[in-house]
Amino acid sequence: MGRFILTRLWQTLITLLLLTVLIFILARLTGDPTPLVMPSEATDADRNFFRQQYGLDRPIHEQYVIFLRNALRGDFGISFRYREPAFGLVIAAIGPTLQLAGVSMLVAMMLGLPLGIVAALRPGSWIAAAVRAYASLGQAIPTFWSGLMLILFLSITLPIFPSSGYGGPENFVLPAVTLGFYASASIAMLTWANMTEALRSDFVQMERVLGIPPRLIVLKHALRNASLPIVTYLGLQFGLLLGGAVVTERVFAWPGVGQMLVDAILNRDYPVVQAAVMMTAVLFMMINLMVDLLYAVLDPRVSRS
Amino acid sequence: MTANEPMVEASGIGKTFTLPAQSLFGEAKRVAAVVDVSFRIPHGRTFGLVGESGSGKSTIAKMLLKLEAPTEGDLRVEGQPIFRQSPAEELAYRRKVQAVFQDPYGSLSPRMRADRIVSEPLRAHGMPRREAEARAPDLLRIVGLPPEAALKYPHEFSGGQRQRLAIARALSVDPQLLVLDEPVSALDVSVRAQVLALLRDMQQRLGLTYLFIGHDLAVVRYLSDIVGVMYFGRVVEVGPARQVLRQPFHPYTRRLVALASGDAPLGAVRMQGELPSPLNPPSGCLFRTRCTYADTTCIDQRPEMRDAGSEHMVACHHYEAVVAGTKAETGPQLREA
Amino acid sequence: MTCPGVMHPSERGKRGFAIGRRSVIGAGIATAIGGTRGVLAQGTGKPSLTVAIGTDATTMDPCRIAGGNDYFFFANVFEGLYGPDENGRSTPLLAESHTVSPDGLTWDFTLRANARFHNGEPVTAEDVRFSWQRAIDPATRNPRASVLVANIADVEVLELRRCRVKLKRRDATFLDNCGEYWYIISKKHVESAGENPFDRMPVGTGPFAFVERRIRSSIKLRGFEQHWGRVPAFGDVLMKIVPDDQSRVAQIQTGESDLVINIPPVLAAPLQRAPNVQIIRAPSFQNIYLAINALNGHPGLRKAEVRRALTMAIDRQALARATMLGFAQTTELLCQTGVFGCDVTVTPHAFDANRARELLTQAGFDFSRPLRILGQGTGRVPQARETVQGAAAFLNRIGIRTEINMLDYGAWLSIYGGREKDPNVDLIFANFTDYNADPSGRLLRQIRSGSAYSWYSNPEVDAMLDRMNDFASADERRPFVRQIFKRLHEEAPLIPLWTVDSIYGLGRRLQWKPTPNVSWPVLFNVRTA
Repeated sequence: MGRFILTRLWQTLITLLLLTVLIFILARLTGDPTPLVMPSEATDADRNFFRQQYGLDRPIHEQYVIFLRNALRGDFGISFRYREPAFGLVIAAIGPTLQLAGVSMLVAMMLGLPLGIVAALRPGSWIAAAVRAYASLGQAIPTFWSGLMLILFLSITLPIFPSSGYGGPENFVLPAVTLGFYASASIAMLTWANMTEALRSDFVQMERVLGIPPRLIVLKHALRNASLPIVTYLGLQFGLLLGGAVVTERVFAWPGVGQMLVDAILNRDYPVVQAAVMMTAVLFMMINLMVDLLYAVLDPRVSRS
Repeated sequence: MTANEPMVEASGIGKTFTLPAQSLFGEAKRVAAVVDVSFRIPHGRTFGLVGESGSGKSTIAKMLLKLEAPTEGDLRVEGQPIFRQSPAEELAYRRKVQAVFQDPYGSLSPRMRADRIVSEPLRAHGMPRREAEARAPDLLRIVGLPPEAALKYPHEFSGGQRQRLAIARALSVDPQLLVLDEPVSALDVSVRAQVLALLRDMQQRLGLTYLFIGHDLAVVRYLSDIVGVMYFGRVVEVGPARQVLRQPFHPYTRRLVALASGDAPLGAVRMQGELPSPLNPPSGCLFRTRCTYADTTCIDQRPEMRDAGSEHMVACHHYEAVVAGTKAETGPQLREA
Repeated sequence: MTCPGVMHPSERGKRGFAIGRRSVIGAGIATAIGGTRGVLAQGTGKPSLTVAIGTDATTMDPCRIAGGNDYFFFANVFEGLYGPDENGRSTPLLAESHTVSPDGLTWDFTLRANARFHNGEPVTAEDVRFSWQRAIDPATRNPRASVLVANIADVEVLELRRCRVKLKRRDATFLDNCGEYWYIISKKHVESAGENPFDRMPVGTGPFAFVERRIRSSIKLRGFEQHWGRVPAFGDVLMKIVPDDQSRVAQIQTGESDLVINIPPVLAAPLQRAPNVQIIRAPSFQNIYLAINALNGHPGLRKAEVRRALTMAIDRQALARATMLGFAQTTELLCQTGVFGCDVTVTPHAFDANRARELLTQAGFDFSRPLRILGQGTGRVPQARETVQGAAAFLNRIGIRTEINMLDYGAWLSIYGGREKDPNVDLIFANFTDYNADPSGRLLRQIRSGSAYSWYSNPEVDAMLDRMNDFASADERRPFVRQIFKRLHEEAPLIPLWTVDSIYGLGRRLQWKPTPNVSWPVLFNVRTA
């Protein structure tokens, strides 16, 4: 087990290193930040100073080395736009994103898992058809539409929840349902497929023969066997929600890292782009590592191989 | 329960699967996996069921295990129709009937230790865990496994040992009927003999009734008292094992036996002739497309099961002539593939 | 004397894990549902106000303002010696009065006796001097120093509340620009607050004092009870940042916010009939126009008659109705009503498609070569896309082929403000805001050859522009500026379209007349109805 962790950590480090190169190049491909940072009243001296201050006038490989060296100490530079350390800005943004992603995953599981299980237990019934329709809608409907619709009905027409903003539990409901609905679609279908396969599997059949009550079979055994691919998928989805909930963050004025990254790209704010991508990548890889560890715990075959 | 009553009695059971329609206006397709099958298994005897893959034998096993319900006919165990049971009766049924499947790895939960595995049926029937697991060493001993085996996981056993584990588990609740679906097919030839011997031993000691499904005629012959041959969902021949497997009457069985005697397992031998589609079965006799003796009668009329004497039944229009050697070979030429 | 101001950023970087102090992990701020709707602020007994805005401020340091967007904060928290009144006209703020020497180089200001900073300290001439010093200090890197403070040779402290500002050159825009380009800060506060004094706790003199900030989430202000003359009717003001237009409008529909700014016309129009929302608008100086590449684009564009004809080809009234739904003030001139010197009569280039085509043909315009139009894609300026498409349609009608390229703001700005002007661009959709009634800043950067946003070159016009601030009094200056606008009207280096109205949504229980001709909300005069 320890060896397993070490190997994975090593792989993660290499990947992160390659990522630094990639994101460094990509950030600079967005264009020159000077016109966006300097107002029209600025003099050429001001502009040159800005470029010098942030090392933008140095050769590119030198810029990379400086970036990497500082990044290893947690210093991703100062945001061009906010003039604050980029690391701090991203850390402040990751909190809300993580929280929203977590709650959304919970909603997605609460919606998707039961639907998938019920559809697997009653294939061919109207319930299964309804679940299929639900999954199609969930994946097809864009989050900005479902988000705005939720705001319209549950905030404007019926003043139950706040329409936007980050805050207490009531602020989480609408954005988490928006994202959760979207994520639950694929979870429902995956659960359905895995449950069907598990129910058809030899040892679930065997358990019926052995006399184990059907409800117990579904809940304990079949679900556990189906859980492995679902756990992997949840890890993947969570990672996607981390960086990809941009639209939902915008609609709900959620100060998360997705929206921050998009703004930073539009503003050519290299330090924030780099910091946001690197930290999201680290988080994503840590989550994947945890998923792998969970896998090893759930299936003893893996850890011993 | 009277002495004459068989353990299992199947009367005209059938199972038709309906495939979902491909489009909104398409028709649902139907596949008849099992059609009009009747047989009896006396107490304490082994009924061997042979046939190619897709012949319906596994479906029959599943029906007996209540994993599938027949769409026609009547299936009784010890005189009771098993598909009209209350939950309590069904639980009792699950004590009476157990199973051992072909793939030991598949039917054993990989995350459970051996002692938990063999005690699982007892726990399912209400015995407390401690008590159930206390029985494990005895059960393991009965099937010839050492007591240390109790703490191991399935992937730590060999194939043969896993089957022993599966057998131990099946025996834990003192069943009366065991459904054995290709229990040795996945094992090495050398190991097969041991497991078969164990099964025979158990039967003699405990008075068990077996439904044994296989495709290897030699294996089937070893254990079976009665043999039924299935083709495309129907039983084409049934009778005492020695009779059916040494001197078969039905052209299909004859072919099987002839090919098997070349020491090739059944599945590896291919017969010439057009294999019918399960969605569009041929008229008359289902076997006529691959039968060398087929003639117009075979196209027009479906053969009924006919009594060939001493509990031997055959579904063929021309079996006597075939057996006597007087029937001309008019159908497709059969060659070893 | 250098003042302890902003540390060099490379030094900041060395401090490593300087985590933003505005961490929101785990913190739950009281949400609008509980916060507004008549809840009384602590202590003052005054109600709270919640405002929903679209973009966060990039800085709270008045010496580092980089664009007009940040004024939603600064215009409420800071003040200059002079500044805009409720009608957008320059009026004494921190100063009570001033005198100016006949040569226009020496300005004496008398400060109000009751002007105070938010930390309670009175505003003194020392503070005025200090504000100038910090604003021009190279270590501060004030990116807009060139506009006003760089032209101040010295600020002399005459008495406790009297100072003498000596300019290097005459500048007729000086007093106007005091309102936006020279905020007065507290010397005591900056000297005692250490590095980055405005990041933690900005201290100004405006009607609202800073309370706290959550980056990208909200800014909280408090009505300043000791303000010299503009004490707000509200205790607490919460400015919530809601970037999405629909979500922002939803804030006023649910009542979670009392005031919403920057409502795009498309969303404002249907809300005009909503019972619980007042849609109010105020004219602004945000100019929308099409710049013409008279330097190296389509050869026809080098001729003034061609440029005039292009202006005649576009029916700006119809275009404004269609794209801005009437929430705009069209203009013929390169300025808007209220801008200094814009009160000049000219022969309008009235919309006349046929005449336009005639003039183009007469001028030998090459119709075979399409005009390439650069547009702005994403939502900085409402209806930017539609405006370009509409204008192109008008040009198409008279036989001009057009090719439109929509770019995101950053890419657009790189081309529009590029050092070398791109010959593959003929017309550029652009927006350029006048901060106050004085147009010289914009004209110098928009028209004068060689400047960042100029696609036009005319030495005569340049000479006029270079002189336009060199006057001692407004009266002397006015006829000259009128001449400039007249000349520019003939030259037609741009096709002016309109100025955008600022559209606000206000709850029914409130009453407010937004300051005209500023592009940001000034909140001190919001009242309960």
